[in-house]
Amino acid sequence: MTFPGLSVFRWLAHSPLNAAMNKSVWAFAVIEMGHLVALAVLGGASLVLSLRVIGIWLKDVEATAVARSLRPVLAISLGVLILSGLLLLSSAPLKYYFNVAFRAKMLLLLLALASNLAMLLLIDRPAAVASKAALPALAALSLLLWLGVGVCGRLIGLI
Amino acid sequence: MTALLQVCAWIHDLPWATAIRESEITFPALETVHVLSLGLMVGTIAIVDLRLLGVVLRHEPVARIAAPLLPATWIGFGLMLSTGGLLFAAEATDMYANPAFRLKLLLLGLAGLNMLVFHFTSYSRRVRWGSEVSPPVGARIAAAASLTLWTGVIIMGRAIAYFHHHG
Repeated sequence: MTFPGLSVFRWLAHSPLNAAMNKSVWAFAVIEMGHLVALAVLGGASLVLSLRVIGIWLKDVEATAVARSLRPVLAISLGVLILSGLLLLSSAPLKYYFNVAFRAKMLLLLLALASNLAMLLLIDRPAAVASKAALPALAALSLLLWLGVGVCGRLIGLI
Repeated sequence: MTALLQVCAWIHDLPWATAIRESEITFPALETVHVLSLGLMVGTIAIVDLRLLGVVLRHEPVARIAAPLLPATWIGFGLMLSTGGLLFAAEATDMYANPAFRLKLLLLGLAGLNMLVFHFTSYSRRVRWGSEVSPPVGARIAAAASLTLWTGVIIMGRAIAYFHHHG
């Protein structure tokens, strides 16, 4: 399987970021801890939003209100995850490039982002016919995709 | 050898604990469930804390957020405790001496204590303030302490592996 961006990963391997990440004994450990804390927040926020959309949790609160309120939490935790992930990646870009779990994680991440974005866009149009039918399915799909991202993330270090 | 270390060594050598330790699949699988349950337990706790701090869902009564999420928090806690217990058993003797594990347990105890105190003080009077955007200072302190302590628990949980010398 070919995976895009080899030149970018190669460039990253020779970047000052790579040198900085490898010079410090603690950089990787500390950034990984930040990555995990953000995982807990993103996991919780998307769990709450998705299960509200499906109709299991917070039934007394409008789905639009939950979405509006949790959007910044999702955005900030996602930002921290991507930024810390990029730093972790830059410590050994080529190792990750050839890691099957990393490749699967990136693919699932793209799908999870698309599915979440679609869900958030449809929540703002509750009257649309498409919203009623697609929203619970998108919410369930989003959760499954995030779970896949998390499992693959853990697998990166194991294979 | 202290009594506690003796207990840890006894757990460590139990047949099922040894089986987990020696399996190439069971240990990482338990670890994965343990890490991902964070979203369920700490994630739902964080949402309630952020509501108490007036950051998210500030116009909803606190109980309307906290009550439906509590069962999920407990399910997450059950998953964390059972997988964590099995992971601990598999390496009980190493965990006894691991400074990150000790600190994690301490922070875990403080997080539990904070929750207990909040539950029986401020939260028991929630009918009086539950609908306010900004709850009383006691509730906000409990929420900030909870976020800080759980962050510490996660950080120390990850740090265990960095103080762990295999082989």
